Amino acid sequence: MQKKVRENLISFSFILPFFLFFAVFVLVPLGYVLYLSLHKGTLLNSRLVFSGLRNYLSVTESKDFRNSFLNSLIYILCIVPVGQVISLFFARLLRRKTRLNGVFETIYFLPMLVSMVAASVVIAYILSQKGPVNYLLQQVGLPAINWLGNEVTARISLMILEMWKGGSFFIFVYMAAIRALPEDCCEAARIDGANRWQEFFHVMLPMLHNTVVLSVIMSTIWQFQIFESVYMLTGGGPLKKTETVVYSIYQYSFQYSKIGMGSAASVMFLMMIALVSLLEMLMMREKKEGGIRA
Amino acid sequence: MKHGRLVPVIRVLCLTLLALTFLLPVWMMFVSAFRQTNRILSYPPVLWPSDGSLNNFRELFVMQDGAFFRWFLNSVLVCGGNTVLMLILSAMASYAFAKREFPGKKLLFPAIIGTQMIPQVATLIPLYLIVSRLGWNNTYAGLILPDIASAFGVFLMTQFMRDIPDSLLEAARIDGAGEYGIFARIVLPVVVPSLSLLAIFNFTQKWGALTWPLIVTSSVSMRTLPLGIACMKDLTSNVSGPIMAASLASFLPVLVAFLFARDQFMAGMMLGAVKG
Repeated sequence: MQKKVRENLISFSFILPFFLFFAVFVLVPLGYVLYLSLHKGTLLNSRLVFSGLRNYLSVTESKDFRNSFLNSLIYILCIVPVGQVISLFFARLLRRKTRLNGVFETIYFLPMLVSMVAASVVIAYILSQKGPVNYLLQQVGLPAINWLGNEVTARISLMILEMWKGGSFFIFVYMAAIRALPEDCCEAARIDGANRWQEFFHVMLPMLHNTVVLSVIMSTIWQFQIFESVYMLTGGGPLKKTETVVYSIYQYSFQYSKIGMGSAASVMFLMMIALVSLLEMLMMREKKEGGIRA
Repeated sequence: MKHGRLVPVIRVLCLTLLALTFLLPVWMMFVSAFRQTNRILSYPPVLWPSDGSLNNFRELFVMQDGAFFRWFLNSVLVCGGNTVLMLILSAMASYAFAKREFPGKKLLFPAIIGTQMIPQVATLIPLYLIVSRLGWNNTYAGLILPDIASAFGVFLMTQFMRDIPDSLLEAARIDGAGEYGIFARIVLPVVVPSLSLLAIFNFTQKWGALTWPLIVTSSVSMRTLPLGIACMKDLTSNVSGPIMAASLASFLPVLVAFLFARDQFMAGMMLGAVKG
């Protein structure tokens, strides 16, 4: 009996350092943000006044938050499908492990090493009034565009930055999945007379089901968290038209010091992410029961 | 099958086009880092800095009493400290989860893994308040410690440690090794390759991190490199020679490390795909 207690103590001593920091910086903040969302308060004044669900009401009625939730939705709806299709396409092109493909892989990997701050600086230059992109446009006889000047092109600029910086990640995810497929599955289809497209859509894609679900969900969650690129590239402008949910949360909490509303928005943001994750689990299981291997 | 010859050509063409799209901005960062601000902002853009000089770097290095070096050092300390502590905590906790039995294990493990989905940005406000309460605002502790308890680190290392055969640990026990000795001398050496991947993954992510340093620091001297660069933007304009030079200087160490250990970097950065 005494030995068992000793063994348990040893086990706990391995967990304790991790758990201490986990509790203080992960678990407590989770409960705390829920608590804060039900109170009115400021960053500097520690006195909180209970206000029920009023913060949630304020968030749903706030023009700023409505605007930023809408913008985030626009980013997700544009970046996720476009990014996934492009990634799948190029992953398919990189299927074979050749030396030339290795060179392409190295190049595609580079943007992932650049920090979002540096990437924003460079993309801001690339899209600047007299930058390379406008230069190219003028060379082919098109007018130069003030990219960050109006809401549509500013949003597009932001999406370009996000896709340039993070887009290649999914090329590698799909590439790994495609390379792991059994060689003979596609050969059989080829012998049966399927062309490249048929082979891809009818043989390869169904086998990649779980990878696709995982990537779509992961990308959705990432695009929902867009903040640094907005902070760096557009500052939310013009006229708040590129602001995202996290950007608004940051503004309300740390610039306007309305931590109640910031927390309420954070909780709503969290619940949406939980919902998307739940969706993932449902879709993954479905396929497993169907008996198709991932 | 008459298009049989054409397909490989189109394939390489597509791949090359995407490669240029990814390369051009990186290349322009190199070029612009050596050109004067007014040259960068005038037509036509050039692909080689034939009018270049090291002026941007000179300006960058003397700016705000050498703040740039301080930021660089801060980033090294913060990312390094964070990564080392994260690895130690993850490895220790994972050993208990993978190889030891204790009450509450079946409850605790899924609870920890379940928090992986939660993005840190969702709890920025309470995190800031807790760090303030601890008096860690604008300190290295405040920059480093809040995210050393990585659920992802535990998840990953537990997977790897489960693969260590029990017989190996049993043999050490029979030889009279203590539990901590087994962990340090047998388990750790076996998982060094996985730990180094996790280290690469964590370090590169932290090296570029802006959000948390932006919130927790208040003085110029405590800024990390990304935050320092972000604040340079406020002083001048969005695009300037010194900012380009600073961006390049922040990217170069990662690039050099990548070129030396390409495969480890690729494996390390792609750990994010396991995170799901």
